[in-house]
Amino acid sequence: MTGRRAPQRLIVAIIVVAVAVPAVLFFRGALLRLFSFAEKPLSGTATWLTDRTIAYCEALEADEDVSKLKEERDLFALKAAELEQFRDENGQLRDELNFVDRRNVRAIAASVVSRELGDRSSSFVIDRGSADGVVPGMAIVVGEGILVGKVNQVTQATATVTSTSDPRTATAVTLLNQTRTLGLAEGMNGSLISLQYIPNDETMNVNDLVVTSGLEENMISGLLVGVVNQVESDASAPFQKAIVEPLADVRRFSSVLVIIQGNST
Amino acid sequence: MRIALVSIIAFACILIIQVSFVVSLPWPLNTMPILLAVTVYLVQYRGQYQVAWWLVGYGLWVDLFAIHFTPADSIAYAVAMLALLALLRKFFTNRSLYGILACGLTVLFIKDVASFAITTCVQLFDARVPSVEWSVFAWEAVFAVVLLGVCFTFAKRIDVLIRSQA
Repeated sequence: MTGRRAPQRLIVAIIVVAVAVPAVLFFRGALLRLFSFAEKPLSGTATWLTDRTIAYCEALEADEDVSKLKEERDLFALKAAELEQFRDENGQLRDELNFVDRRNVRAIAASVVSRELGDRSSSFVIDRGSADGVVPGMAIVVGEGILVGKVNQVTQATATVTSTSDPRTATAVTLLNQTRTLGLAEGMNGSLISLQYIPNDETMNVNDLVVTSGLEENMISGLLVGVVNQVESDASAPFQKAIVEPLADVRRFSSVLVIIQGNST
Repeated sequence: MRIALVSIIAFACILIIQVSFVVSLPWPLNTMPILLAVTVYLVQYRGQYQVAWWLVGYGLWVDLFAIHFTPADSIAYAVAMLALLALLRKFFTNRSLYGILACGLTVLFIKDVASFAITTCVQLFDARVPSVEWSVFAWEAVFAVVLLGVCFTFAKRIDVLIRSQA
């Protein structure tokens, strides 16, 4: 580009450009058609690549959105579970309050703090103890007076309760049949209660209600224990036996009532 | 005449790749200045000065076919061509990788400054003209470095291979 020929070349170049520009404009359509043979596949390939890239990026963004929504869903589920628990507790406490008012008993509310539920035993610990006036043998009820267990051991701040279906628990009960038969309800392995020592001459039917008789210390009468599920009688034996199904499942309650003193008025 | 024909065909091929393939790629790959990088490599390393006209041809092409608004690219690329020839004569006489990279980035910078200046001037009269995206310039520089590096490495090796076969 140096030397004497440089201006000459520049002039030639300007002339070439001056000719080429109108020529290109004139043959614009033909040039585009000619180039389009090569441009179409190249442009198509690049567009496909772009489309795949955008789709991949959008998929990544969608994954992030889904993760965020899942987190929100989990949070809402936790809140809903908490709300449901509060609602259940509210219902239980209302029932218990109705029971206390109706039966005119002195009772204290307690929360279940731990449980031991198995085939061989069924017990739980409540947050009330001797400091609150709880003593062994006291009735533990839920809802509108359904007996779920008896206080077994007491510390100053807690009490261990064995449920009515625990084999270690025996409760003096009355069968709400025509003769108001007395008996002893003992827990069985599993979640059922066995009603023992019912004389053979007593009439006992399936679906008869079983309530506490009040014939033991610290236990008031009339607390619902369960309903007769099955009657087993043997003509050769002096007593007949019944299987009682408890009316309340202690696993479903987080708060209970401890009957401190019956019929306080 | 034969050299001119080969040069025109090569220019057409690179032009087609640039305006159809590269511009259709996803961001920021669509900012790859393939034509500019190849031009700088051929002019600076190979000494094929007539290839510098590719820059003018590219600017004219994109303006004539209204891919960009007239006449920003024609002027910007013409300035780039003049800058390239001037730089080769005055500064970047060394045909090393660093020389090519420095020359390429400088030409690109001058082209972008020219483009920015023209765009700003045109915006004074027509507010609809879009502003220059500086991120485009940044990515162009990144890809220019990569492309010039690739050209320097592979083209040189291929050249050595061909000569050894001959």
